[in-house]
Amino acid sequence: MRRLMVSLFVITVLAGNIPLAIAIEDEPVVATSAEIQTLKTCTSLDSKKIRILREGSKCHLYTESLAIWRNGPTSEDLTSKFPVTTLQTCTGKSPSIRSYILIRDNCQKFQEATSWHRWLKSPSTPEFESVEALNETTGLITLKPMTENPDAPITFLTVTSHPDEVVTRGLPTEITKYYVTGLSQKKTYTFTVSATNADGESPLSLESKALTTPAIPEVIPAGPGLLSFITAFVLLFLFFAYRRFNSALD
Amino acid sequence: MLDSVKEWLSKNSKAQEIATRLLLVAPLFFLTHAFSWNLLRDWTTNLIIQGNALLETHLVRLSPTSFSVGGHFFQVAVACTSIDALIGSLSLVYDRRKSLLKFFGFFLVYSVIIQVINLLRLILGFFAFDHGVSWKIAHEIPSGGFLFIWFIWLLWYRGWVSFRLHTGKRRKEI
Repeated sequence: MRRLMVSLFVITVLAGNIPLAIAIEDEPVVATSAEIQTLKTCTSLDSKKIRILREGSKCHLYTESLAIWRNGPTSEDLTSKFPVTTLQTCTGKSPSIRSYILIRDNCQKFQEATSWHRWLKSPSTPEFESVEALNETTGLITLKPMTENPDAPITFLTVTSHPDEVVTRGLPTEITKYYVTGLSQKKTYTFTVSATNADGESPLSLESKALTTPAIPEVIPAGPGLLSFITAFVLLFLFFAYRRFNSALD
Repeated sequence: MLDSVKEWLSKNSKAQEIATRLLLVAPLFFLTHAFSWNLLRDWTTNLIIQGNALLETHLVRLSPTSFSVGGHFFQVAVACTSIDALIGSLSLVYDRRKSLLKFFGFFLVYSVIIQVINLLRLILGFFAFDHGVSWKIAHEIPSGGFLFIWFIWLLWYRGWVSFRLHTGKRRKEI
């Protein structure tokens, strides 16, 4: 009887695709349903003001950050795992006019209100995979894959090089690769990184392993140098001295 | 001193012409360095690499105007192309008796010949350098020799020096 129960349970799990574990906090489930309407907004990182993103346009890096809002039920499943924030918009009731307006009070009579939701979560602490010197002035930082909030992609990484304490900001070229430029030759550096999205900045990473940049190779100009001109002048001197000597003999 | 030079120049029209032409060399030379000549430097780099490839010397191109050979990095500067000396010599080769078109034709041929000689010098220099000859002997001294021969040719072309054999009586040996 016990075996039968176990077998039935296994079959049920396999056939019914019942999840055996819920998503852990750092790995949010990405809403993939095409039916869920999304609204992309740009959040000002300084003032936290929101503006609706026009079709095809981009947020301005460093000052604004992309945030994705959903009005589907999927986000409700995650309310227990992440803090959820809501946004009210007004839009024309006619289906042809779909321009949304953020509202502060109530919508007009000819408009309908929509509630949008998104998860609030700053990026997790970045972890270093490796650091290497590509040349005398450039280093490559490779980070371990970061768990992202699907509603707020990472806007930029803030990399601080030590001991110079020079701060650079930028998007990684690939999701985990960041090129640090402007380093000095023959110098040992360590780095700390933090990631920023619309919801805030991640905690600062631990210090990376040390990286030592190589020396800049000496580049020799292939044109005539001082010795060439000295040679030319010596030859000219000898030439005219010889001619003068010869004419003196005549 | 300056007055005596002026007086000498006013009396001697040939000296005046020589002085004018020589004085124009430096401004033309420095004017050439006001431009980067990237295309010419790129071509020169290309031809040096290809020429050395014919001699089975492997030069590694690093950028349009730089390459490495034997662990050393070289930059083809404006002076490597000889364009500065070529334009600087403009005032020395200019012939007032020729029409501008004829002079342009002459200058074109003259430039090509100079460029070919300069490239051969560079190719052989890097070939020698790659085969263990020091940079000074492989490049610097031949470069000085090249400038010397060029300058003497310019003086000969202008008729300011001649290479006629001495026909006068030889001094008695004592």
